[in-house]
Amino acid sequence: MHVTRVAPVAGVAIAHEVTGHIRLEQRDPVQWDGTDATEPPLVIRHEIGDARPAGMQPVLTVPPWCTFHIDRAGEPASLFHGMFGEVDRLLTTVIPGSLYRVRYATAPRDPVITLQPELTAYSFALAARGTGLIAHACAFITASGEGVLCPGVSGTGKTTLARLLGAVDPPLQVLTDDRAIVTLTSEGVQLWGSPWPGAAGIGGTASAPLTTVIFIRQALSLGRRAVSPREAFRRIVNTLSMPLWEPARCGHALEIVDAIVSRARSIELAYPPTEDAARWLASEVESGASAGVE
Amino acid sequence: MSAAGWSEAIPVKWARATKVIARRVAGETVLVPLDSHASDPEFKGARLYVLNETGEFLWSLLDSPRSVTELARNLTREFVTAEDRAIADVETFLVALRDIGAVREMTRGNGE
Repeated sequence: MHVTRVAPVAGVAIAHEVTGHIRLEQRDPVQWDGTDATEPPLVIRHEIGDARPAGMQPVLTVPPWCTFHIDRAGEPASLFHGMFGEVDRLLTTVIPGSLYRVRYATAPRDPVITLQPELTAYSFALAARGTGLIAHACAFITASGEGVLCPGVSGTGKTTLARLLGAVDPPLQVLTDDRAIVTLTSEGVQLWGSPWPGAAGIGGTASAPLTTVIFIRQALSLGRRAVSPREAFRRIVNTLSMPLWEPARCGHALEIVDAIVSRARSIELAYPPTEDAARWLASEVESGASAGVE
Repeated sequence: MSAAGWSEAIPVKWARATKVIARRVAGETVLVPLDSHASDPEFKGARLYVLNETGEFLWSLLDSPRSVTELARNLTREFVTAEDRAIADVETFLVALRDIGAVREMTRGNGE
């Protein structure tokens, strides 16, 4: 067995334990030094074996990529369908929150891409621990140290915004162009970057208190309006990794969502995709921080 | 489902389903029925339902089994509404919540 370690993500170190004739893709998609390891590690064990979800109940299909299942113990699993010549892989829960297993039906011919099972196992572990959620979002930190989350499904302009914000002078600290981590502790709601970027390839290791949620909308002219917590909830919830398989975890996730939309201010910013507009967008967040958003 | 005014001979009781999450989010009651997902081939993401004021009131009553009559009677006490309208509203609410797996009809046969 050999072990590949991923630097901590939001304080959680990730280790891939590999057995058999399985090779993991050597990937370094972003400069990722990792955050300080403050939480118990997450282990993902890769092995060859039966990859059929026997006795499991399918609960959600995400074509063409995967089908989520619930096992007999009520824990989540995911069957990743063989794409691009890959073999089917089944991610299952061994110890909720800390150990997950990926089974390959046959020995993969090529090095396997770990992104999918790693991201999924991480979201399962966050839910089991009740510590946070993964947000499909661009995220950045303002000059005054405030965490800003810009959630959106694919096609809403997260990558474009991340690129523009990185070019602002002085540059903002862009945490991610695609996947951010939001955690809730007794100290508040915290925003983190991740090593799972989108097309812009941006991953940042810093974190900051989440103070602002921006719903971005590309438009011909600049515009801004306050978004109520109720509207923010409706707009943000489908961009979050909600654990829909288990009542207690889903309930806790809703409490995290409530904390996000109740404690952070939410605004909608319409902007044309230009550097000037990105500079304006960043300044709007800063001015909202000092004056409060109407 | 039937409700013959205030005088049901054998009142059917309704209760919250066991696999439904209810939480207050941004000042509203949000329901997530978990059992409905498995049987829904169109399910692509979180199915969350936000209750209006009347729905929140009825949901709060359903913490224990209630008949349509009981629910409607409480509704007329809390809100300005006629009996017939209250019964119709309660029936509509219960059918909608039954269809998403958030409430269940409790018959005498299931021992509840």
